[in-house]
Amino acid sequence: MIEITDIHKQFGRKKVLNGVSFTVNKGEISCLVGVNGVGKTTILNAIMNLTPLKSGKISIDGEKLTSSLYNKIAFIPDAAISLPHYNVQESMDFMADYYDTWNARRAKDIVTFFRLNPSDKLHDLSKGNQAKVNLLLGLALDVDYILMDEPFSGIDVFTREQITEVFSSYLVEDRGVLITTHEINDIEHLLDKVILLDEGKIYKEFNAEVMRETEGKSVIDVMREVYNG
Amino acid sequence: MKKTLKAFLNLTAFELDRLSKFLYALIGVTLVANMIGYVLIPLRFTDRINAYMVQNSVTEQQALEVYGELSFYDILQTSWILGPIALGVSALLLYAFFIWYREWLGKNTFAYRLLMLPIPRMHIFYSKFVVIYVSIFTLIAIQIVSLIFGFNLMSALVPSEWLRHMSFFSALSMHPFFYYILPLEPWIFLAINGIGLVFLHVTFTVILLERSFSVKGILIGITYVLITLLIALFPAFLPELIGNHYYLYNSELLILTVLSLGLISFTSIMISRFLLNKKITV
Repeated sequence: MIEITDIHKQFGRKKVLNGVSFTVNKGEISCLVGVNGVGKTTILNAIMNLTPLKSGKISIDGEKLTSSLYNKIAFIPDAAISLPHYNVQESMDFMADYYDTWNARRAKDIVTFFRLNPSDKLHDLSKGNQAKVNLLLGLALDVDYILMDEPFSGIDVFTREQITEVFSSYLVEDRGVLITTHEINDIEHLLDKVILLDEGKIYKEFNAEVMRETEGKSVIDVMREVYNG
Repeated sequence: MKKTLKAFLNLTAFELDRLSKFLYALIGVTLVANMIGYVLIPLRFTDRINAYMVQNSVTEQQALEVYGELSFYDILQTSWILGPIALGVSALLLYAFFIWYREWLGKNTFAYRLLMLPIPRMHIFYSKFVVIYVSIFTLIAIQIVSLIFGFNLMSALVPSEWLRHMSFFSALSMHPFFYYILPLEPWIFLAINGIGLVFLHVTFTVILLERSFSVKGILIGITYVLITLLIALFPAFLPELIGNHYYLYNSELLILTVLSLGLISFTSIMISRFLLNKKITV
């Protein structure tokens, strides 16, 4: 379980996170939602120890994140993070060199599914295909937890469908998943838990399916209520 | 082989590979410029002597009295030799910054990938450190080979009686620049490299301070550089500080200097470790 307890973060004088606490459990897909600048990416970066917090505690299966735990948790950020002059195969080889959890067979499956050409240089790929490579490099790791930041950002509807299909195939199993996205409609049916952020705090935490069944509201409906007053 | 060591070697090889084109370019420029110097200077010299002899109907000896004999020292002083060294030094100095900043700047934020590798983050620090040092020593080695070749080439191009007899090592040790760049005495070699190591540690620490605290980090970095300068120069001013009441032998001053440089390096490593593990931000 990823346990986030009372985290605070400030950029200059602006308080971005003001006492956020929640958990991400294995076998559960959680989604952080909120308008731009509400601190979704900051939370993911903080979990991965990529940005320091003012205070608060984050633990993964009861342990503080250390370098060895990067074999347990993968982060797929909303940015190209491989070397642009590398091709797809070289990017995969790089991962295989460092991660014990690299699953070459799954990587090959995802490459085939996404119809990526292993010899294509990353800087020649479209934004959609670069996002696919990002997903490939994250999802091919046999980790317990996966964090994804805006996996659909700037991607066309067909590629989004493909990515959603990959999510369905590879995110289930026994992993704990935390996603941030504005394109909530695409994955709403996959979600177990929705964490709604507002003004640096968790405004509401609910199960998307229960909300739909009991109150007849979609995640977007709940977001409208919160952000449109 | 231990897993972490293998990961470190992998990362160092990876960094070397990223540097290789840049290093090859520097080597290429060095060799081409050196070669031009080795050929051009002797040929100009022989042309000048020959022309003088023909124009003035004088003997070799008389011409040499006017122009003097050529020595390898004369070639070492030209910008064909000194230029590429200055270029190499400044290029590697810039590369010490670039080796970090390229991970954050540009379209692809490779810093994410590096910082999320399942290896101690200090491996990143030391792989970059080692690569800079490997480059420095590679360029020095290439320069040595080039100079030996140049010395022999000059001897082949210029008649021996037109050459001032000076050994290769004498020419190098006479030159104030090469005396430090290619030191023949071990203690100078250690001193130069010791200062270089400390300098690189401090540079990397300042970069990481900036990467961790942004503009505030630059100010902290400048303050840190000033403090390290004070510590490094402290032994030199110590006799005056204690009112020259106690005489310090050179050996004692040397020990104090080594200790202060060691302290700076150690502190820089500790600060860098803290920043990489706790404060760095993508």
